[in-house]
Amino acid sequence: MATILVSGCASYKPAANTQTLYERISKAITTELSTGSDHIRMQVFPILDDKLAKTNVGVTPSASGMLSVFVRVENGAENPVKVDLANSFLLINGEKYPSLAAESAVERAQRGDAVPVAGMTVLFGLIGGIATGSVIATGNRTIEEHYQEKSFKPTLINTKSCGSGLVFFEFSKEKTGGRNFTCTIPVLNLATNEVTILEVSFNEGELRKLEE
Amino acid sequence: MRFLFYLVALGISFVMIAGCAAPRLMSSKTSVEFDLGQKKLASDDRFAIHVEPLATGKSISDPYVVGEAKIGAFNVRDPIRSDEPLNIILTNLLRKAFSEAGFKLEEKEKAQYVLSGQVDRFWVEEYATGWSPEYAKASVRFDLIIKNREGKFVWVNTIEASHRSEVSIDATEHDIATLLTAAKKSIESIFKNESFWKSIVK
Repeated sequence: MATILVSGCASYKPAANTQTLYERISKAITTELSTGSDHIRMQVFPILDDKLAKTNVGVTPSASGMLSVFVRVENGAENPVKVDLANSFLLINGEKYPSLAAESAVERAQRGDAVPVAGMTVLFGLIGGIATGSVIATGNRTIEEHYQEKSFKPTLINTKSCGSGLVFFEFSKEKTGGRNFTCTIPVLNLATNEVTILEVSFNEGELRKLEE
Repeated sequence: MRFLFYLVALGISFVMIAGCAAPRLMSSKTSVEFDLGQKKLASDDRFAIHVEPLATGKSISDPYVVGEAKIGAFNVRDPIRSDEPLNIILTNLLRKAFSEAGFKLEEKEKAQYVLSGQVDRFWVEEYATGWSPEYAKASVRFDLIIKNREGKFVWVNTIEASHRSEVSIDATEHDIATLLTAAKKSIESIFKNESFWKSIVK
């Protein structure tokens, strides 16, 4: 009965410290992965490591079939830009893996290994909600709330401003080392309608070594 | 006797399914009261703005579908429809909010600012498993671009908000209100953003 009650719930206890997600991720992944073009600079921090992923996005890439990448885009151009997340993708050994909307990422996380962590908390929160007649109040936050808050924003970036957050990509569940990745994110100049393709390439094996 | 049994079974089935339909978002009955905070344009400082209809992004396959209800005892999924495209509903809410904030709504030729944008999400759904109390959850996300009359960018941003209803036995009755609250919060966030006012009132 308890299993039935908690199934379908997914909540997640974010890392309990005051550092921002950017600070935590950039501290853990020391490899500098960045590119720039036309006064637009992009940094990427792929969260491939299981422990790092579990702590910061609640699920491992292999269990969820989804890779979370922390992306930061600085717009130093004269005009505002639009980061085209819908047409962003990962190339893994030449194979294309499209980006996922935050809502799809939530569904994948809920189907992944996030559930056992705190499904019970949601259940207890619900019981508390009935008792008090108030909204659900749990010590933890749902995966949905966490992903909505931490997903990349804003996608429209004013001049001399930046956008940052998590971008989610489909990912192979097979655990193999040494894969070559290219993260591709198109950026549209709103004034000229010119598209700048920002690409960062890295090798999984080299990245893992530096994380350890 | 058998007839009576079938009649009772039919009655129970009817109670479990009938009367349970997804709500419909009727734009004529859409009433949203904005809380725009302290910042409003003074009567002698009313900027004229033209609000163009927002476009819909690729992520929206049907602009007349704004969510998914889970109805009846079996939580059958049923789309929540609106009588107007969701981008028009949101555009009208934006017009109302800008008017309440002291802007004068004008035709494009007469306006100092032109607002345009694109809706990427305008959606409500329910957490309903059949085993625990339910709630409705909605999220609204759209890009907003404000240009001056010379076509120069004044302010751009991605506007986003979500809302969750109180828990209840049946969340369906809260679906529309939850969606409208998320829309209201998203629009209010524009006027609570300091950079917006700094860009407009120079």
